[in-house]
Amino acid sequence: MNYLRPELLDALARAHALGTLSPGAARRFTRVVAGSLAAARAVADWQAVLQTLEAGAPDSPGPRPRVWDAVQQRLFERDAGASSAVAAGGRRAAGDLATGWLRWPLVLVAGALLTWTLLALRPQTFGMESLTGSAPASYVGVLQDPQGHALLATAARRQGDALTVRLLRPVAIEPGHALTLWAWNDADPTPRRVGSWTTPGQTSTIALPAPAESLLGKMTHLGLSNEAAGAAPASPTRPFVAEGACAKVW
Amino acid sequence: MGIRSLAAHPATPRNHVTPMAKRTDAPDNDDLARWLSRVALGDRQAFEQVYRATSGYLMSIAWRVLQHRDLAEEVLQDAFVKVWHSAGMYDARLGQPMTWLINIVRNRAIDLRRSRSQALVNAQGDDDAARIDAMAAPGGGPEQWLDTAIQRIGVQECMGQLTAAQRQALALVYYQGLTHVEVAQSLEAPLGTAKAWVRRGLDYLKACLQGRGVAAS
Repeated sequence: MNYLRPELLDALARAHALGTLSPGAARRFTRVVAGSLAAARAVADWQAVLQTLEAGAPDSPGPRPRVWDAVQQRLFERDAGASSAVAAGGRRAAGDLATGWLRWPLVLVAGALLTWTLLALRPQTFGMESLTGSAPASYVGVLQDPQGHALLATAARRQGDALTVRLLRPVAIEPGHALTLWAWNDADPTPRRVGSWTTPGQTSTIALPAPAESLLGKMTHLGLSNEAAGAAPASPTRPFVAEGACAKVW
Repeated sequence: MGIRSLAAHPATPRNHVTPMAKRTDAPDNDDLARWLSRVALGDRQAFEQVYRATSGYLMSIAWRVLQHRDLAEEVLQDAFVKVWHSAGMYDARLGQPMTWLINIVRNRAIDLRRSRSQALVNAQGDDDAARIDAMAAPGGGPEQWLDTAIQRIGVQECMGQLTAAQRQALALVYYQGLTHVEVAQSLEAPLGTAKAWVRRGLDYLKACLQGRGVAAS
């Protein structure tokens, strides 16, 4: 099924945002959203529409202090062994949840077996790759700041049209600027622009104008600079804040 | 990064919790985006700021779906654990941070609601009183919440073209997380009809917002 057909995508995105997809369909569509910017945007559009309905929703009792205590305990004090009423409530709820699921044990077991079998024999059915094989052919890079600290990791599949970038340390994105990735090689040291991003999050995905193979195939070095957003300069106008090697992994 | 004592902070959430979470207190999205980017890097102080700024608002969403204070708090707890672990997944290109947070809470609340029996969700106790208060208050109940939203976002005329059943179905699905089957049962309508009501209601809403130039996010 082509989930990205516009009418189907809109209908699925609407149902996904609203929460009316069946659990199985929701899981499948979640995988589609994770791998497709168009699908993610379709869902986000519907989520934004739905959020307008919050304008009429009522007040409620506020959370009690124990909620924040329990969040901290679960995240940061797991080893302390302390407990709280909310944590106990959470465990009770988990038990109830399990009871609810146990109504359908045979369905779940059969589904899990089928899924496992398909995953083992035909992982491509789910758009996945075999776990027993080697990693997919990719271009990867780890860029270091002038002090030698690893600052940015990048990865793109050899024939992929997207590059994943992950900040390993905080990097300030100046107002009106975008972090911009450049690539070059020893024979031709003129940096070529790979892509830019302004997202403040730790991990971002850059859409590449061409398959990674054609952009990075001959490149050996990567650089990161802060450039004016939307300017798309042909060469860096600011000094690199990090540099590193561009490596082929296959 | 060092571990900071939250208890020593002069404005910790424990001092911030109010008896009722006001819906008008939705926080500034620019602040939230900045804090989330710090949370993605493991900044606990930023995490506390996100909690302090949004927990009341988000609690009201979970409470609305579950109609049960303890369960709503459980959802809020789960949601903030998820926020800590997945703040790096927030993508500003896809929407406002508050929309992202609302969806985490709403989805978790709906999951919990559907995994438990209706009897548990409607458990007796303080929450029934709160629910009755909410229903009895002016503007209480899903249909009234929808009407209020329609007025506040200024699409009365456009949304007025929806039938009462279409509005009712949309309100039940959005505000309380009912499934199509539950809506059909609740409104005593065939399943296909209930689905169509919800779909048309949403399509109208989207068209109305686009027609009026109302920012959706």
